[in-house]
Amino acid sequence: MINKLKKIIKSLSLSELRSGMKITGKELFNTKITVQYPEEKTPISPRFRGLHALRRYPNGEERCIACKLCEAVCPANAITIESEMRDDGTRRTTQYDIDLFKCIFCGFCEEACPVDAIVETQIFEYAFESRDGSIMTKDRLLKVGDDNEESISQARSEDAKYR
Amino acid sequence: MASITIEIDGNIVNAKAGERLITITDREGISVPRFCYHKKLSVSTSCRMCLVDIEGVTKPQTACSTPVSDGMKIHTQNEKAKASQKAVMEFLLINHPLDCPICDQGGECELQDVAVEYGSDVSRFSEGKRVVAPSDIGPLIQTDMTRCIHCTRCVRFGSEIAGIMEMGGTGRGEDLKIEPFLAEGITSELSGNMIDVCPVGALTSKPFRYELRSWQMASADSVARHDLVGSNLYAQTYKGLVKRVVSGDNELVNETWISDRDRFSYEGLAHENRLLLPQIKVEGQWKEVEWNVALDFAIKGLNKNALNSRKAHKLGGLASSTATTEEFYLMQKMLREIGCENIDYRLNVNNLDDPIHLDSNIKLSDLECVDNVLVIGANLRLEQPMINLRLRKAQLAGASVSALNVKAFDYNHKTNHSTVSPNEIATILAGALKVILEKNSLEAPSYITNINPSELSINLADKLLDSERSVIVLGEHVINNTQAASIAQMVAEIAKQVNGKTLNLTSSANTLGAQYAHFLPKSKGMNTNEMLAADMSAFLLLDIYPEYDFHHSNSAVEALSKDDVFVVSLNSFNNELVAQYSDVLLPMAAMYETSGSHVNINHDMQSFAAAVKAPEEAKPAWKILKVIADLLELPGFHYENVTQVSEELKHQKIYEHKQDITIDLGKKSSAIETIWMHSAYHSDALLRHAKSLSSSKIGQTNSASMNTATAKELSLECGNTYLGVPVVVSDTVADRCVFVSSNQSTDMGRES
Amino acid sequence: MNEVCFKNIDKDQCWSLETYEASGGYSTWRKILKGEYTPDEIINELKTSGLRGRGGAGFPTGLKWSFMPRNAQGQKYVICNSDEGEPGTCKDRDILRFNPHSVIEGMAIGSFVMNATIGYNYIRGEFMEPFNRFEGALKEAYAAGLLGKNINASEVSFDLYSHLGAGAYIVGEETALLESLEGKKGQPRFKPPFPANVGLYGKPTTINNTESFASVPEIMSKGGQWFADLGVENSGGTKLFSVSGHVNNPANFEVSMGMPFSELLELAGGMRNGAKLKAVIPGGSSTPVLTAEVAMGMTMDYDGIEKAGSMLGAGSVIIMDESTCMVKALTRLAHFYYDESCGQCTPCREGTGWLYRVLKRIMDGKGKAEDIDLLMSVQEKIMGNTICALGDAAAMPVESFLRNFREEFEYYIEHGKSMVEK
Repeated sequence: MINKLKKIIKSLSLSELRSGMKITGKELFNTKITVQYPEEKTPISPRFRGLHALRRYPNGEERCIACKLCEAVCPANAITIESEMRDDGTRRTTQYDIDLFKCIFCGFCEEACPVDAIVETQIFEYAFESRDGSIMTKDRLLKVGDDNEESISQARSEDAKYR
Repeated sequence: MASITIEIDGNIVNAKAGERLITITDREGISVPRFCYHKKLSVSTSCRMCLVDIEGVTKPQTACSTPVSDGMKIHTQNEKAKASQKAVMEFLLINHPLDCPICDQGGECELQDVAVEYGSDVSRFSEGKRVVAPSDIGPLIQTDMTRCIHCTRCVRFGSEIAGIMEMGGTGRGEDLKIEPFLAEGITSELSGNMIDVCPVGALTSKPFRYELRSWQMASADSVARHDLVGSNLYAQTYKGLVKRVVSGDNELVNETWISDRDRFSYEGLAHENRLLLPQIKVEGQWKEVEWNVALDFAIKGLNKNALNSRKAHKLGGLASSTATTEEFYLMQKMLREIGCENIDYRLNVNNLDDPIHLDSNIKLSDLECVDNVLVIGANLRLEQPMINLRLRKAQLAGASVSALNVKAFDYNHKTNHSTVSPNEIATILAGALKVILEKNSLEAPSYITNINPSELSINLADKLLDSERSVIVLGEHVINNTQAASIAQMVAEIAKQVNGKTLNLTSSANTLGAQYAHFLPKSKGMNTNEMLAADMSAFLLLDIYPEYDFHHSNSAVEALSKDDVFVVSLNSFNNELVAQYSDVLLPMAAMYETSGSHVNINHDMQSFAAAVKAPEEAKPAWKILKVIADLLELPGFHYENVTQVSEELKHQKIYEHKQDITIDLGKKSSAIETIWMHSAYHSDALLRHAKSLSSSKIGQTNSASMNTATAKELSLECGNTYLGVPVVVSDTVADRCVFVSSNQSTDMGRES
Repeated sequence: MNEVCFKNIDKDQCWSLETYEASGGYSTWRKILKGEYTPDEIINELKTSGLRGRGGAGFPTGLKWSFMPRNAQGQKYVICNSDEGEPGTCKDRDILRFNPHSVIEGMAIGSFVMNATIGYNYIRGEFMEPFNRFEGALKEAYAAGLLGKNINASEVSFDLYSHLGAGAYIVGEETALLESLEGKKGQPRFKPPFPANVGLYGKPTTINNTESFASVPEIMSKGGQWFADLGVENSGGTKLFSVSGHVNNPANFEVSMGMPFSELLELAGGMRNGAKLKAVIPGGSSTPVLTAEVAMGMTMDYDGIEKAGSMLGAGSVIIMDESTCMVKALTRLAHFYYDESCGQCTPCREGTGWLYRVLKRIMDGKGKAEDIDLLMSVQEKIMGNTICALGDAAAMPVESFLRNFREEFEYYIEHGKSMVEK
């Protein structure tokens, strides 16, 4: 009986509505934390493992030396490399493919790389328009690297002191 | 040696007094790191990696050099031993480049492996590292001497096994450089083994450079079929292609070495001349067709030209000596089933009426125990490198080696060379035989009664009589000697008289397999030369390239090209002449692509499985032959795999068409004698297509050697050609003889 | 003193056969030719004399000769090691120059004991004058019928040849000398087997130092006990000391074993310009350096120097005064071993270069505080791990210089300049 009475008083006094409105009112004046993606973006760790890229040295020479350690370490067998001796006698890839459908973005490839050639960039917004779009060929990987070299090297230098 | 017990790391181990410690630890499975030690090479102790602690000895001792004695207490793992090993490791690494990612040895590098356990993660060496300028030592071996750790295994291999010290250490201290003494680089016929013995990436395979990492390849046991040894090896494959060949271990056959031609011939598999699709010739035009079409065409042709008209005796079957035993067996079984006895593999023999008969009755491993060797007509080093290696060991151990050759060939061991014309060999042997028979108080047969033994004959006879374990080696140069059969007969007789052994090297590859498979004409059948001369209506050919394979190459092509002859060719390579005379081309698998077996000079039948699938439409020849037999509706060809074929022929005895030889020493030719040999890297189809071998010094050999007098008689000089081969004037050649070693085809007037 | 090797040094034409024979030379050899000695008698005399190998290791010569399998079948060889290359040593040069016949007679006696009929004297490549002297002496000896086959119709044969080296320090190591003599690259062999069993061309071979051979004739003619009494216990006889460095009269001195170092210094004319003694290397550059205090209290014999913390070695005493920069001195020594390493075995090939480069860096003013520990650690890792003693020889000076004069190195690293040089 007492309980019933309490319930009636509680609903008549609108206390729950008021406590709800209190939170609303408080948040109305608080700093907003919702990120308005895609207009706004959250900061990304330098260690973020996004889309892959192949880097070049400042003189334009590709870094990758076809050591195939990334291919060996890749737990998903997503990397395929073929190599040859280039005309200048250096060891180079003729094919470097990453199948993004297989890739699990573990980052082992960049850990294994002795020359910082294969890296995972902070790019995570990409889509495939065709089935073969999932295969990142050497040209595409180099292009990603060329287009984003600045952010890649910045991320690497930020992280350098923790390695 | 007395049996003793020693203590290694607290465990009691049995050993023989004086044994080297490292052989004991290896036997017991105790790991002692090492770089310079190699079980087949002399001890050098230069790397110092195998230092162990021996109780009672102040300094650590190298396990590779220390002979053990009773009660010795050895620690391989204690603090002192470990400290020494780690110290050496640090020294080795300070000047070794850390370029493992681009080093072809990466992943199979002994230094890398040992560094994991003994190396430190950080280098304390902050000075500049040593760099050695690159050098080109030939088309087979890639050098990167900056990576060299000066273990001298390659140097010791060269001087101890290969028999020519091409590599050596120049300079001293830090400037010590391992390099060839001569600018022409490494030219040995066994040079590839340096790649195998090099513990680091200083010497790697040039054709294989930068292609693959060791872990990417699968490895298949295989057997080389370029000579009578059948060296055991591993074919390393990747995505269906043979990418590299490395040696296998078999003490009875090749120990742990293989010749360069066994190692690098695989390159021929990827040659652009490979025959990849079945083809038929319709109205003079080649057409690529499906297998069933090609086979139907072949069967129809065979039926029409030979079988339906009961002309099986007008069908001929010829095969290259590189075929597998099973291929020989199936082909002869099929031909005999349809009533054809015209079967032969001896293509390059001038006179098949009096064939050479000589058993090889000595095992390869026993060759190094002989005390007297007589070599007749062979340039052993290049023609039979693995056999020469064993004979060289015997020579170094004290055996006396004599050679009767048309030229004083460059043997890499001490040999008494006698340069004699092929004409004289029979007389010399007859003289020797006479001396031996006289010594044994036996009556001499009539053909030698008139012989007056020359000094050389007496000399040879004395050596043979004085030694207990002689071997007489009959080489390939003899096959076209007018007295070849008599020579072989006398060799057998001499060996019998002196309790010696004989080694018949007059044919190579898998010819013993052909003999086991009875791939020879039996009664009524025609041999190669008879077939080519007869009016044939059809041929079945297995991997034949007439311009290289036949002695009578021009007449062979002529005979095969006749309009009314139907030719079915199973080939692994395409070739203009083959296309000219063939009516059907069936692409067959080459070495490494087919399963089968090889019979070596020990009479061991060594089986191997295909390492890779044949490219495109090419099929193993045994399968093609089986299907042809099935299509001809012959019984007994229901094989599911090649092992069933092997089982069937396993119990077969070697077929020898023995006939009585009438030795006639008067049979001599008065013309200038020419011995024509293919250069060592052009002796079979696969080798001829292996690019790196062809570009090596041995592969480039193309010369007709004669002495000054002969050159004058022929009015030739250096720069001219003889039978299309450049003339080399050298007085090491016997008078009125020409020795041709050529990488060209033989259709240039070799007819005699 | 000049009792043994240098006994004729003051005479005119002291190297001639005439002078040598006038002072009793070849008397022992002639007795041997007459059959008046047995090999065992000679070995016993040598054992009594206490003669120890003068090349550096100090192994008793009598004992060494007794190890030779003299009755073994086949050719045996006796070899004299005159490839004197140790920095600071020049005694063998003067023996060859002034008393070559003593070496010939010593080798001849040795050949008789070892039953070897062929001998070689391997002379350092730069020793042109001593080589010619020795060749001259050989001619004299042959002409006098003292060498050859069946000498004086006796059963004794001995042919002696001299061989000029090509200028490698490492060939002073006995097995490297054998390799060089065989015409190969001078690189030490691993031991065992020792040359006594497997030596030149794989045959039993005895190798001794020039001074050891030169001492033998005098020991034989005057008796082992006489020789032993010249020295002290465990170090019989006299010894040639090559005194070099900052003294007024650097020279070779033949003195009795056991002479106090101070007396030897006196003999060499005392310190140059009256400077203060700083350090002494008592046995050649491979032996540990000693500080002045230790050196002044030491006697010049095997035990005395060992007690002081160094080794008698080849008896080459290098005197350094206060003005010597020890960093520079060690760098120079390190460069020597770096240059002379044969390159065969890893620790020496790589380690000597490392030691030198670190020291050079310190000299260039680019030293780091941890370099001293690095040097110590590197020399420790070379020590005892090499095929021959060159590795140890390179390591020992580094250890002793750093131990005795550490503060100088620390100063150099900190200030980038020498503590003593102005």
